[in-house]
Amino acid sequence: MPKSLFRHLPAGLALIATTVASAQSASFSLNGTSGLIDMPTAQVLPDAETAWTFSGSGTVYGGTLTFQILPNLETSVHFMTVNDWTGLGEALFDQSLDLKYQIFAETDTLPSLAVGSNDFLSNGAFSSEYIVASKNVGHGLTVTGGLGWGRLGGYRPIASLGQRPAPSDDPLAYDQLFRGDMALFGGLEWDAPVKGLSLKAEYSSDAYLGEQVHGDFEHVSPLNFGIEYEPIRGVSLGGYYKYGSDFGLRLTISGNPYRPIVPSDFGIGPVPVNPRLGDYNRSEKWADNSLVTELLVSALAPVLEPEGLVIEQALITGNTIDLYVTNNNMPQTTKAVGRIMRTLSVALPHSVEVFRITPVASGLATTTIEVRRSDLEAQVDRPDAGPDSFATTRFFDAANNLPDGTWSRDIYPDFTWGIIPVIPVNLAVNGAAASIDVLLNANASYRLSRGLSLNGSLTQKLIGNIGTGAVPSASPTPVRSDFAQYQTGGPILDRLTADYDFKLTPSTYARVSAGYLERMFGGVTGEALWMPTNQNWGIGAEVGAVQQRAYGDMFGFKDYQTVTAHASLYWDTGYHGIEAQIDVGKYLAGDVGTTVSVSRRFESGWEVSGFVAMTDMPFSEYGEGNFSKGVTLTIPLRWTMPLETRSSTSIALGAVGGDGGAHLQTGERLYSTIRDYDVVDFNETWGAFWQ
Amino acid sequence: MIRPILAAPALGLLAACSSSGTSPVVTAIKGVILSSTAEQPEAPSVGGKVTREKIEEFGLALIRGRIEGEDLTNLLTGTAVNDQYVTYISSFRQNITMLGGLVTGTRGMGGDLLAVRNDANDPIAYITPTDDWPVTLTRDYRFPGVGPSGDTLSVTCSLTTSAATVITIVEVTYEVTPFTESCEGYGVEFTNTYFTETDTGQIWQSLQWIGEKVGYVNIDVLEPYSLE
Repeated sequence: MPKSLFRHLPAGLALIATTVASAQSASFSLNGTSGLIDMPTAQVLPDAETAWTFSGSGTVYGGTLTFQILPNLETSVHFMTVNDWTGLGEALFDQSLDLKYQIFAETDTLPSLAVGSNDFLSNGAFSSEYIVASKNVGHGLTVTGGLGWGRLGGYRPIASLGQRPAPSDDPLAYDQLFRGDMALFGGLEWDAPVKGLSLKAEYSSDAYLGEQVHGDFEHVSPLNFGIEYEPIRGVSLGGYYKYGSDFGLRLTISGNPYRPIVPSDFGIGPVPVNPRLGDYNRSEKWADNSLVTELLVSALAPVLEPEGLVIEQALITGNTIDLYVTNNNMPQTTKAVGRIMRTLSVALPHSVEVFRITPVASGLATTTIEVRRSDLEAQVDRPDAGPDSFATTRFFDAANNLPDGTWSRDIYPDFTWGIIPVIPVNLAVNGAAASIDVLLNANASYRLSRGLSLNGSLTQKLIGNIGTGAVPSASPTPVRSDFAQYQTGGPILDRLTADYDFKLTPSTYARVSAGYLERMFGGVTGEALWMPTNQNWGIGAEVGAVQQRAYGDMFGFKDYQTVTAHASLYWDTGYHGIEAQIDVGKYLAGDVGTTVSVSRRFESGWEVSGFVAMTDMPFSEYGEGNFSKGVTLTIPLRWTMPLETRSSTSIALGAVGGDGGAHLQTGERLYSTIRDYDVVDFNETWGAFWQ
Repeated sequence: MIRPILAAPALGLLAACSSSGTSPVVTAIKGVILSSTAEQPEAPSVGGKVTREKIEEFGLALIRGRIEGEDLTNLLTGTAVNDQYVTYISSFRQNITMLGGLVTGTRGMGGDLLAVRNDANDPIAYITPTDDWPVTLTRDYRFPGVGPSGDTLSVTCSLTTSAATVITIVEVTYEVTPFTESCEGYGVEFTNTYFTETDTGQIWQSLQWIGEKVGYVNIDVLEPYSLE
């Protein structure tokens, strides 16, 4: 091939892309982002797709969490170890964030176009930017061509756009974006006729200069080749031959909140609503009997309990019923409320016209949902039942208890317990990038009254290497950098607290907790949250007086004491389930600063969240990662099993290891408890009311 | 013929409770919800052979449903009527709601169909002699999604007919006209089939799309709901 043609191969490939063919779904690159092998494509993953990738080659290995945070915005968090980076045998542990924004999707005639930044806002080992186009040209073949900067502008650059700053450890760098040499890259992906099998070839613009300084990596050729296989949906394997001298392997496990493993909505259907006849008996005399409430509730309770719905309090008059109900199983509150309403419409005397249901969460009465029975009868089964019922339903802040004289169910004290396996993966601490534990967690709760409970949690390590060989931190305030010291074999007392949840006003929630609050700290903490149900934002405050716990002693303490305090602003944006939180205050190490958290929650119960904390602690004292940041993925059990359950599993990355910006890790905070019960959330999930 | 719905007697019982003390209320709740068949004739057995005699003896509106591709057939009893929407329930409390011959809702069968909006002249929803059936019609299928309306899938359907034939449903033979309904909307295509009595427009047998997650459901009308 003539050299001039070889150098402009990507542009040639892009020209071919004018053929009419429909877009194919994106595949994963070696490092777990959507792409070819080392090069990106303009394709993005399906909305909300979440993928875990474990990959390795001769130069780098580690893990990546990729999340399609919006339909056209892909994010990837990498925890990679780069061999021989700072010297022969001296590896670099690198945490980085990649962003890719698809400017427009592929059409019949035009390619998709995307712009992206690797190692975003950091001029580190993988820092690069690109513009890329991709087009399916038919017969399963997708062609990609692009222009890269940084690492992606290193091999045979065609031009330069200013001077790119030298790589640095600056944790917030932006001067390098789309600066310096730029080079062309491109490639092909072919979906073979064998189901799940695809082949890739790319022309890489990454010169791998850093890997060649100290290591023995040899850049023989810019051409890379790969073979990928997806034996079942959600599991993808890839094998690669790179740069004429290196091999790579990849395993990706992916899931999507919109694609449950088991069919959704399978199980017992709701009770059908039957309208009252036009000449129904409107007499309320039956309510004069003082035993009527008890008898009615005694009959209703066993009907609702099989679905995990427990009546806490009830007040029934001839015209109105008020029920305070705990929902133990149904993931969506609106579905639980809808089912209760349906049951009441069948069960109650005809004169009862107003149904009020108040969900109780962690002992707190949340929002009262009021539906008129005649509306229910007029809307059920109709095409616009969803929007019509939401329009006629009233929502208001509930008092924490119904008035005196109300029927209250005698269910306290109530003891609950559970044993669950926990598998933490520690990718955040240098030198322990592959550490993993298999733990068994036992938890129990003894609820003395609706608001007061004793809670405990014990963990026993079954197998694993987190904490193995850990040495005490040299930090003057090792509030988190000694994390590994606490990972003994066990049993570990994670928590032993007395907790009291109550309301100061109908729209102000409060909590006090005392005892062994978390694995590393004990003490007293108090929290208040003001969040009216008709408002999409709230304000909270939390103060804690705590002392650091000892490593090897289940009940002992170290000398370090501190007072931590935060004010918090919560905002439910109502846009694609995105919520934001800003905390300002004093952290465990005494540093003062701000934490910004963003999460996206899905109707199925999935949640992906991330946070960044910046405080006045110097980067040099922060510990690993220069500043505190983390990503958490929560997957509901309902998504994986054919059960009505509110249980979920969370996987956290990068939330430990740094002393700066360290929050107290108490049990469930007030906002987490009540955030499903405001009007914004009810609006988003109201479709389930009729399920 | 009067084919009432299951809950109608129970409503009467509830109406009576308000003036005669609390005990009937409790009885009604338990009777209607806990053991909904206690007050009713025993439904024809799913496992046993369904005969016309049993259906007649049962005396209530009754359909037979089967998810396409699955072996299990369920009998569903007409249990509630709202406006003209009739909800049928299986012994496992799975629901199918129908407007005339059109399935407008499912519950508990996986991938709930929340509701369907249909045209005023939709012959599947409103019984219409086959000579008067329109060539095209539109519908909105509503599924769970974000917001009170959920996800709405709007389709346009075209109806075509083929030669009359004969079908037999539990010992009764019907002369029917098969109609094929091809529907297409944003990102979805499906085809429903209806076997319709020519003169009356009564649909006795159908294969209807109820969503991408479940696919199709076969419906045999064993005893139609009627107010006559």
